[in-house]
Amino acid sequence: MKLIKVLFALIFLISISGKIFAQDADEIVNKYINAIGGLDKIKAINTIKLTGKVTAGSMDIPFSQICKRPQMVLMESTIQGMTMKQAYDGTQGWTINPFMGKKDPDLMSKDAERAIQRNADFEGQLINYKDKGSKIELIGKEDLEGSQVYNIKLTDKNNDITNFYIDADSYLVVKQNDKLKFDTKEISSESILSNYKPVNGVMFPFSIQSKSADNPMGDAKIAVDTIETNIPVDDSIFKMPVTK
Amino acid sequence: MKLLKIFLSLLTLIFLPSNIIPQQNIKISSSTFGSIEARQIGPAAMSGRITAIDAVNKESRIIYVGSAGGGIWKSINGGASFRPIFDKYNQSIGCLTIDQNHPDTIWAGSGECNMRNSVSVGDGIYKSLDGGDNWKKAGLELSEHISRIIIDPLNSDIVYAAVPGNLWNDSPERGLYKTTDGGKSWIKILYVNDKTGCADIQVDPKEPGRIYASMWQFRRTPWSFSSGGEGSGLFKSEDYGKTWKHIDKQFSPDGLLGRICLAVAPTEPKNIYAMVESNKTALYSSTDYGENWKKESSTENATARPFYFSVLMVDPTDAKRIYRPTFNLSISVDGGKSFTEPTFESGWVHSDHHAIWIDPINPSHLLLGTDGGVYISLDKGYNWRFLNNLPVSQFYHVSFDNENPYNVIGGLQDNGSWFGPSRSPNGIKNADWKTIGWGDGFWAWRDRLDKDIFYSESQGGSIQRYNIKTNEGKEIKPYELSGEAKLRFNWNTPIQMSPTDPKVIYIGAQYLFKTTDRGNTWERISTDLTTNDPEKQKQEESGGLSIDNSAAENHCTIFSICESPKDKELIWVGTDDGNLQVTKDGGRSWSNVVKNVPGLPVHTWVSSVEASSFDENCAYVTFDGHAFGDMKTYLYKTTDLGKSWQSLSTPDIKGYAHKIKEDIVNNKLLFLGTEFGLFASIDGGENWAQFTGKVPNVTIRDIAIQPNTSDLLLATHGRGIFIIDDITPIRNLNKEILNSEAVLLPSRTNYIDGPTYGSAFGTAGEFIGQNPIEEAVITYYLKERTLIGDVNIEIYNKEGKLLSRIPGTKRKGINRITWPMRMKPPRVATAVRITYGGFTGPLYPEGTYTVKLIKGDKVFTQKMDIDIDPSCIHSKEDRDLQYNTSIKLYNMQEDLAYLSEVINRINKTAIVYSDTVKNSDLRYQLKEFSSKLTELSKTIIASKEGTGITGEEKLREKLSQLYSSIIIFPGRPTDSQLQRVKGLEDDFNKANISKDNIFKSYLDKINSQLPQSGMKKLELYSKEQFAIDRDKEKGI
Repeated sequence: MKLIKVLFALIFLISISGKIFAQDADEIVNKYINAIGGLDKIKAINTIKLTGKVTAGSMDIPFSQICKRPQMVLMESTIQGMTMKQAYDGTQGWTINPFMGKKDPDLMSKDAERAIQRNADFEGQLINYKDKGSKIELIGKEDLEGSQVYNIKLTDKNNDITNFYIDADSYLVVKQNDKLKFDTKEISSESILSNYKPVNGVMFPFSIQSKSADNPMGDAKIAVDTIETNIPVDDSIFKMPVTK
Repeated sequence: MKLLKIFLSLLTLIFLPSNIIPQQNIKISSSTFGSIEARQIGPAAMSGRITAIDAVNKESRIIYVGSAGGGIWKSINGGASFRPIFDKYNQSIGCLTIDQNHPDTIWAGSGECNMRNSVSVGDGIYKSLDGGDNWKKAGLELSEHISRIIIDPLNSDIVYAAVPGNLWNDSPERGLYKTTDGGKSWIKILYVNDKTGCADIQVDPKEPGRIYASMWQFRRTPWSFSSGGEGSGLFKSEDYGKTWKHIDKQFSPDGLLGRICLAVAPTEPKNIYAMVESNKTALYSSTDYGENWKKESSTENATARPFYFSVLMVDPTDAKRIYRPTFNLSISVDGGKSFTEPTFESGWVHSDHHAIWIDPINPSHLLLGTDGGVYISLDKGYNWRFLNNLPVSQFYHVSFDNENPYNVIGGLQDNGSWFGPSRSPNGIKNADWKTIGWGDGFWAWRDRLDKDIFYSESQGGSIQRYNIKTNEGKEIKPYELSGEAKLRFNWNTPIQMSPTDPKVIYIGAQYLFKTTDRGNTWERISTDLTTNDPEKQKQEESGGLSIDNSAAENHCTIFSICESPKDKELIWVGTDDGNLQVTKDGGRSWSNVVKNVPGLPVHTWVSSVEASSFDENCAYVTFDGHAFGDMKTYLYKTTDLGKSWQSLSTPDIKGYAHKIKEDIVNNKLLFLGTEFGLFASIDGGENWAQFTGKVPNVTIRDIAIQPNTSDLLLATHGRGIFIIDDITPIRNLNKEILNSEAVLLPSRTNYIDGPTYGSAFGTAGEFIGQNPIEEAVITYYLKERTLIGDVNIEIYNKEGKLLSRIPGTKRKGINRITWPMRMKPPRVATAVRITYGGFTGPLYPEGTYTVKLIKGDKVFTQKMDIDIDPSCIHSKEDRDLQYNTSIKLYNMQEDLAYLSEVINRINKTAIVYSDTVKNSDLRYQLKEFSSKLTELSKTIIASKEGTGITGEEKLREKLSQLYSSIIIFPGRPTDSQLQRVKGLEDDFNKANISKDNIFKSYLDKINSQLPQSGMKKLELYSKEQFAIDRDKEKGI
């Protein structure tokens, strides 16, 4: 009888301790930050340039992305020798889409601007999320395709939601689901991250499989070829050119 | 250093498991099947039974719909499209309630409460705080059925849940429950006995301490239903449910009541209405908070089937306007004294209504949930528009034909029998599905000798032969002989086509019948194979207070039939009353082998029998005890024709079993459909794992395997048909592969199929079923997810030339990626706008290709066959001509791109030089050189800027147009097209000569003078460099 009591007490303790030591969202985010190299190394990056290609169907589209603190980005992608630009200069988003014959820039739609603001925040939304006006919540530890992940839900200042699925062993982000709400529409997408490699002490995913929940045919595979950090970048490249 | 440490520890983590886990211990799990995913092909043409609807009062575009077996769906656009938001949980929905004070908070009660024979079982109450993105269980796990949730209008933490509870057995988990802490804990505030649950509840919207609750005694057995009894009654509390009193004394002279549904008028809550089932079912009204009642209308439609139609609704702005959904919608404008009906000028609305929602801001706007989907009205319910985008159809069975693409055939609960294609241009649309039977549909087949003929049935064995050419249906049911007791057919009567003889069809009553002449005559090939228990044959008395004998309770009938694919004389039969019979001589003698099945309660329903395709002595059987309240999984195998049985059930399986299916190629591969999902075993049933690739926890009633495509077809009872394309990789899984770090797996032959075209007109707002992937599929297995390190796939032709490099997915288990079987698009000349010829490459020809899986420094190689689609009507000669012409135009486009590039590059430099050079003669020559080049360039590429449709056609555009028109048609190009190729070739050659001439006239001359002006010579962009740059862009 006594033994049973002891056993029960032990089980009780174990289940209680599980709760006491259950990780809260901030702890997991901190472990994630350490896993990718630590806050100091992340903050030491001031500019970053990625090049690579997007594969969609039988097409390969070369692209590059240049980011600079605070919150500036220029993305270029090339089709048939023509280059499309999408940029955010910290205050407004713009685009040049030459594919149908127009060379002049246009202001971005407000929803596209929200999406590109996330690219501009190249360190990722989880870094200093509070300063960025976001909230996080641990949805739970769950199985993702056969391994354990922490599901962290981030709600940003626009009320847009991103779920980060953080690998429970390595604390790297395995998957990211984005849901942008704009006016009365919602845009959802899913990105699976892999092929992590260190660049100047920070781990980056060099491979991203991206699909939009609304368009199953719109799957794209992004392969990053090069990442350079702290190269000199002039602010002017992010500014919308003036149309003559 | 720190980083290196993390890196190293990561590596250790990744590599540890393979070192410490002994080989034989690797078990399959859901993740093993990885990216092998099902596609839902719908249909939503008939949709399925809707059980609950709620919408956000202040923003009526946000709608939640609960279904009988297909989970919860959300629309954020007023019903133009829906998304499933409950796939991970129980798919049977009893009720849905939005907290209108916090409209992102949604409560869902699982377990449908329209208590028909085929109803599923829930597992408690769920709550979402973010509009359905995430759900958490909020208690009442053992309730099985929850009919209504009401939130206190002044305090969102106070919630009431009406729990009718278990349908098939006694249970103390019923009654009215209340939480005061948002679902963390519940207390039962009203309980009668373990046979009586709470059917409905209303809370006074203005004084929420006043609560009304109807209690209902009800019970099903496999052979009967009873609604009503001593336990039923209507109760009222004035103190938030602390104390209760009966308010039902005026309802029924003999006191026996059945199911009561309630509605309080939102504008004047003293007015309350009750539809009261008794031996004289009628609507009652009260104008004093339920203290006194007055009998109102008892018209037929309004009082129909109270156990099945349990909704009453008062208009949010008009206390006298009542909606009563039953067979049809009844509308009262006089407080229930009389009821009128819709006009249906807008067309037929599916009968049998279970849910209604009225927009409180615009009460002309209504949503109606029926046995056939959701309808929307904007005229207070008189006319309706169908939302054909909710694929919650409830199939009972599925079969297929051998057309290409093959058709899927099946029957549905209250929605007839249908067939539709497994693939259709632009996706599988509702209009692709055709009806081949009415009523409730179950088994349906296509005649293998006459494509025009289908067999289908409606409830209770009404089999018919349907001709799709004439659209005539002929009933071909067997009858009892004169003077004999009547034939007993199950609700879901088994009809089976013989696997060995296309002329033979079986149908089961209590006897087994066989026809060889398409149902004209039936031969009885057994005695009564059931227990023939007369106590279980009193369906004419079934229903309780309201007699309800619809064939749904028919019992002591044959339910499963299976002829052995190995021996046409060997037939298995299972009955709903627990007999398992087998004959070895075509029906002359039968033996009941159920007594040999260990651990099986007596009379347990035989839900499926599967005779092995590999060994005539082997068979598999599933039994289903849920109609006795026994929810265990019963799955057995015999290898000695039923003398002994071995249980194959493991704790990894959940839900009572409906269907066992043995693979037709690998006898170790088994599929099991249960009430809560699809399960698979790769080792003959020793270990099981749920298949979760896009298959929700939905009821799987039937499983079939299409042999030509190796597709697995699932008949779900709530989400239509799912197809898992090509199970070849699963067939080839074994322990050795599960232990491999990485390995390529075989797939079926990939077929080249030219692009096909289908109409997209009028499809906005419609559900469209997904087609199979039209690209080549490459399948490989990874033991663990790869987070560090890359995985790539390379494709080579038989000469060993690299054709494509594709980034691989890296998930644990099976990975599937696709290759379009096309050349990379040609590098076309750069102009002022893109051209469509630069988006697609020609299809590669049929043949054997090599696939390499590259993971780190390991390379795995496998052959891949590509063949022409067997339905292709174009000769090899024509296809070769098309291919060679496409390649010619492909090369011409690239040659033109080079020509354009070489001109433009040198022209650019020439312009810069001409602006800076001091020597005026040289400047003049440079300018002249440049203007000749510009002039030439304008003849080969479009140069007009601007976003309009300029229609400008130069050589580039002409080539592109011709190329596009030839590659999109997989047969012989027209003679005009071939002539055009010749013409454009001449134009290209002329342009090339012009270029050479210009260079000849100017280049050497200019170059000889440039060094004197301190300038570098003009250099030509070489063809070799162009090829390198081009291939880099193409990623090869």
